[in-house]
Amino acid sequence: MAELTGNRVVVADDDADILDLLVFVLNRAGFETVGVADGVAALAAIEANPPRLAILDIMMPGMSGIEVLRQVRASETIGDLDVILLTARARDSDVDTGFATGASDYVIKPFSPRELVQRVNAVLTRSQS
Amino acid sequence: LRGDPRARRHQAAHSPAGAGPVQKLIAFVRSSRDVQPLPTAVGEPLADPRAGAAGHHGVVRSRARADQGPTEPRSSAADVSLLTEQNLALRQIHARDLGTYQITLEIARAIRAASDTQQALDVMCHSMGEGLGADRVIAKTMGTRHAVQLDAQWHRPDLPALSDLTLLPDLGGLDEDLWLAAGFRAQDDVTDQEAPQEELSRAFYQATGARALMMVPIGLDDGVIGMIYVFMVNKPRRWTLAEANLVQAVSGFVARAIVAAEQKANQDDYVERIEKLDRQKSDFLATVSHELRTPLTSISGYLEVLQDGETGELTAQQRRMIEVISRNTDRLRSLIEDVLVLSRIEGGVRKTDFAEVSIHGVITRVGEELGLLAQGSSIELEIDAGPHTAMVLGDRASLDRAVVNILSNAIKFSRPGGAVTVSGTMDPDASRVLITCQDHGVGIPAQDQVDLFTRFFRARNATDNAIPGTGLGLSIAKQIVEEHHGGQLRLTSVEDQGTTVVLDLPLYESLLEPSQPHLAAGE
Repeated sequence: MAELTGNRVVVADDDADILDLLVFVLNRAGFETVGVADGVAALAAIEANPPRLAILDIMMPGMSGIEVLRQVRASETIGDLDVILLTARARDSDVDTGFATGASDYVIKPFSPRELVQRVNAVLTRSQS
Repeated sequence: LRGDPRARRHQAAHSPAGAGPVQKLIAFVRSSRDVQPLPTAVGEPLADPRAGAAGHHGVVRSRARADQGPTEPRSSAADVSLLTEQNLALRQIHARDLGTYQITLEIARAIRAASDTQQALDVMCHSMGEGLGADRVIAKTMGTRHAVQLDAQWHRPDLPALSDLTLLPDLGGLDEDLWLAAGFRAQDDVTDQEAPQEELSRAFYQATGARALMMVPIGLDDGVIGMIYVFMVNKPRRWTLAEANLVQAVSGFVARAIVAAEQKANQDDYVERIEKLDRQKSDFLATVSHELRTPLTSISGYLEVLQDGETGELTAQQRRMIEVISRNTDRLRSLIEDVLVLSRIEGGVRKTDFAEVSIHGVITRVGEELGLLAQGSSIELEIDAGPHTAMVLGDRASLDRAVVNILSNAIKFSRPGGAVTVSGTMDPDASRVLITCQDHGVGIPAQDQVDLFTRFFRARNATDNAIPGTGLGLSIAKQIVEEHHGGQLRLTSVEDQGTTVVLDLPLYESLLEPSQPHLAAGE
């Protein structure tokens, strides 16, 4: 199992503006942020250099955030990675699927950047303890 | 009277003019029915005419000689003999008609019991063929909208099945004519040179060997939807009116069975279409919600970043402008959420998806969700989620939404420093669960209270004080509580004193029954 330490965060969203916002906000909060635009790139970035946490949009072309999460959980090396899902569909089924697949938390769009950073810190604190 | 009954019948049938009333009656009976000759002839002067009339065949063995004895007794004996014969004929006809009637009832029952139109037709052909003692029965239908083409046939076991029913001669509009005339076509013997013959009957004879045939249309108000054919193969048959009536009655049953089956099919089709529309609507809503929320995410996110001064201090003017953008972004977001919720609940909710929902859970979740809003507005939020056993049968997300709408109103319309209470209570005797939300805020002007549940309506003091809102929240909550969950939403308000809203929902009944295992587990 890889050492999931440091302050590196992989962020994936296919909406460029939201991705910029996420990267900006997380960088300001002191994280080293890697932004990618789809699920395949997210999985590649996570596997290449396991981050401390990943924030994945659910609806992305090619590979959804849920699918990336599923593959992360199935992995022997990065199975414990903390993952926060982002969704613009506040349907219970999405949230349920996310948690069933092993999401650490989820954030519904539109989100407050302040609240997002709070959630990220909460997840990291929880997994450290 | 002569010894040969066939000769007599011929005579009686063809010389009714000038005959007495008895002869006329007999002539009528014989002409309309295929009368069986008496099993025993009335030979000698009748020793007991009443026994003869009662049909005790063994008593009347012989008939009076027509060439001996005085004229008057001979004439009387002849009349009595005729009456006896007529009486017997009527009995036979009566018994046969009764039998035909019974067959009709049996076929009607069988058609009703059939699971679909094809089975109804099969059963009908079979029971009618056997009941009438016919050689073949064929039914063809094309459904009320000429969509469903079905056929069925039955034949005497020693006859071969007709391999292709599409090869039956074209009726050339006869079916329509018969239906409009409420009639049928019966041919006793296609090969009888003396009887008037139809071209069509001969075509059927050549195609199927049907020497005697009956054709009855299956129709509905506006036209023919099928045809029933009854054949005798290579032998004549004198069809009776009762038999024709039977086939006509059965054709009515078949028509009704077809209509019922089509209505059922239409209904199934309709349900399927509705379900498909429902799925499309859900997909559409999910897509729209995604498409509307995505741009809002960037707008509201960067606004917050700007407001927090993360990109440098704003001038007072910039701050005011950003606040206007921010306020209107919130308004847009509320509007999008409310419209989405409204269109989601508009189509109704599927009661089959209903589950037990804990009111304690609803109040706790909503309290957590709105805690920040209350804090930001300096409102003290007092929450008493009530007993864990207070359950309703419903949709959790919808109930959450109803309570969010009510509680967020209470917070928005309270003055800073005020308190809002929300509590859950259960009244097991009345089988009700109550969620009560009370504020001590601005209240609602009396004249505005009638319109409160009208969509997009906003009370005068809400707009005057620029309190944000869409005017949809209350109407959504009311619809969820009353239309979807069979409850009641009650609102009392006094301007400048505050508002109390009660969501009154039916307690989930099965929880009252002691046999429920989860109650025993102390849930």
